[in-house]
Amino acid sequence: MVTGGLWLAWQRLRGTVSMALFGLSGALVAGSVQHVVQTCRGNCLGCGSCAVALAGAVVSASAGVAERTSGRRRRLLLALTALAGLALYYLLSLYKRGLLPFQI
Amino acid sequence: MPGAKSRRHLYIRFGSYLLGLMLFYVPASLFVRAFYGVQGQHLVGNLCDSLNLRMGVGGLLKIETWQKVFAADPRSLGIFAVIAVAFLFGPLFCGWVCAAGSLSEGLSRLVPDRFKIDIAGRVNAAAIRYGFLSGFMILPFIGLSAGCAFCNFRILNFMSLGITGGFVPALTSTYIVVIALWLVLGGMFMKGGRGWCNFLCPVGAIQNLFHGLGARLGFTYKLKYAPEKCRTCLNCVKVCPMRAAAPAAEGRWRTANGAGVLFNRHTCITCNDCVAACPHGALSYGVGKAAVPAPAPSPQPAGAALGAAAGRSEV
Ligand code: SF4
Ligand code: SF4
Repeated sequence: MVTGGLWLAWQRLRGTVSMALFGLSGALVAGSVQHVVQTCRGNCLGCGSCAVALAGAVVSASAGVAERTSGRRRRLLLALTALAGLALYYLLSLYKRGLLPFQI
Repeated sequence: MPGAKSRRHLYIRFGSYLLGLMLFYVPASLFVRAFYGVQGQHLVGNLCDSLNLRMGVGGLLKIETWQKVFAADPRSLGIFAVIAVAFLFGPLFCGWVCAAGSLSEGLSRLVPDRFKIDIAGRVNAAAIRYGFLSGFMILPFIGLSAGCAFCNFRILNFMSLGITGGFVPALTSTYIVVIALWLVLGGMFMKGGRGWCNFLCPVGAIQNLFHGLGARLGFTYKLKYAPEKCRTCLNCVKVCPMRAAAPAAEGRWRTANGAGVLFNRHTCITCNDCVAACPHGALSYGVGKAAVPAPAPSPQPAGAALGAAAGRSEV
């Protein structure tokens, strides 16, 4: 009974939770970029915070995508999410090492 | 088209934002001048110096913030004042004081509706903003923050400094992203002009969280809806800057003509534009119950059921 009720409640909530996961992901990306922009250029201490936040962002966005899509579309969007995370991480790494010609 | 009452209300609201600009932004920064002036110091400052809002939200879960509160550090108290007001009276900071929100809202009014995205009833903005808020509050625990590089208050301060003092800040990519989301995509090209407020402002989100809790209590102020007076003209939906009002699809709020409107407590900024726009007196701002849903449909004949729905039921 209780499990059934919880399951029903979860079914009603999952759409909302998936949208919240996208919001969470956005905040984590912003935190990662802000950290690199404000503290790391030429001064990276290897604390790993940027990577942790970006990984969290990719995981949370992927969970949102997995909830809202299915089949081939799901696989494609999951791959794109992971790629976007990697690309941003690469960009931030270049910036930290002073290899980008512009200010982020 | 908005009536004279609606227009007058809008003028008053934008006048109030102008006061907010003078209170919390340079060059006037009346709040900081008054605050430090009584201590004999002559300072000017921006919203961060006055109320420490964004970083205040980020630090709410951290012990250090509470230590500062107990040490009566005045700057740590701003966010608590804003939250207390939101709990008791609704997010009045957003609806009546925040010059940053009013700027994007004002810009949106310059663009014809056909060029704008309308999220009313289509996107679950409350879920996204609370997700963003959670991330914003988690970040300090891994030594990060999403405060200053992505702060529209800070950019507004730069703009104000630029216009009045000729100060030109470096335009970094984070500022470009913020301007694009706050003033362009979420402002000019979004109906209501409050896209940034709806999705990405932690200060707005935390106020609505507390407003959502406070509005459940009888003694707090909130937007109130009387379905039996509503004629579903949808004037309120048209004027709502937050897109917090949407036609009720499932007819839970059965009205005189059987439809009605749903108001989202988790995005409404109690600006009361809808109250001023409603020609049938179905909306008000005050204490008491927020709204009274119609009773469940009964197996009575249609005429009798409509009669029952027209009477206000207490739940
Ligand atoms: S609340 Fe008022 S403005 Fe909104 S649909 Fe009903 S009658 Fe119209
Ligand atoms: S629902 Fe009404 S009070 Fe709330 S934001 Fe919309 S117009 Fe303002």
